[in-house]
Amino acid sequence: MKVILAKDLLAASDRVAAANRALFRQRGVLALNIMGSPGAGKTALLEATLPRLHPRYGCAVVEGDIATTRDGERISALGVPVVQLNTGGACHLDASMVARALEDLPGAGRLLFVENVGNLVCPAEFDIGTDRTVVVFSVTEGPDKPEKYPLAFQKAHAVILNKVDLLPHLDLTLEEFQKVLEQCAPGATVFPVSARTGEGVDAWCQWIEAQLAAQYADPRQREE
Amino acid sequence: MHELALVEEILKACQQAAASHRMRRVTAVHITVGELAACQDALRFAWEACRGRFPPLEEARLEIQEVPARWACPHCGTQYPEPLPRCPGCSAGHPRLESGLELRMDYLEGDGSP
Ligand SMILES: [Zn+2]
Repeated sequence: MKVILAKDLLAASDRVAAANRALFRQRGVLALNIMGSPGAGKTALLEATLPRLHPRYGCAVVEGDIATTRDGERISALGVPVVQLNTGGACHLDASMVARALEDLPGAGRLLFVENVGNLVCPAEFDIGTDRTVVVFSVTEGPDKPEKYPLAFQKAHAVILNKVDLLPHLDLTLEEFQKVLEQCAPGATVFPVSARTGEGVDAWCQWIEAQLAAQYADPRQREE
Repeated sequence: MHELALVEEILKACQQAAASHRMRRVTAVHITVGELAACQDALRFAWEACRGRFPPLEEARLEIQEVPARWACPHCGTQYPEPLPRCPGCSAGHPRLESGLELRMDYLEGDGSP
């Protein structure tokens, strides 16, 4: 007995995310979705990262912001192509917004950073087609955060533990933060970083380079 | 892990279809997958891992019909299997993806009620 079940498996937004992903493959781009709370240091991390990677690989940035263009201006000052997306109040970027931003970006670079809107709840639920998910989490936010926003941390391929230069002023040690992250973000590589002093930024940049190499070592490899 | 979510969606839909057609056992599920839509190895792996939880699909095979990726030049229409930066026909850039993102359930096979 045979039952015909002609059913499309991708919802519309997933289809757009898949199209974004295909565009990244076509352009040879590794795309990173950067999530984090307001003030975690997402833009500061990019400001420390881009000068190291842009000359070698060519970078571009999609800035998601609810209403302002301040972050986009900071990136633009570094000479890196940036598209500012104002979400008009929406708390996350969706795949079609990213697709629209991609139309405005030249195809020359190999690395695309999508700075998502500053919260850890909604962005984690929307696949925008990026290859790697990165959560920026600063030591001043407190160690209970990963438990409050489990999805973002569970999905993360990398967690940037930012502002480690402030650890001497806090009650918790680096080891204690790492223990929390080991449990909440089991699939993530953790990078203790100070975007302000530059500490740890090289190791994070090397990870990005390794991800880019891995993505294109086997053309069939997909994001996991 | 979008392959895992996909496989669960397929299994759930098949389970419903099997129930409404009173199938005792599903032996095979046929799907169409574009080369760029999902990784076949990951789909097969997820299928083996999940099907046991979706009776009557415990032993159902997953049959994948692959659609190769094809790009087309927006200028002259030449098609090619690789995302070439320049069209071999007219050297225009920005090829358009024509196929390779398909993701569709086609049919399932099994034994009906006696
Ligand atoms: Zn052409």
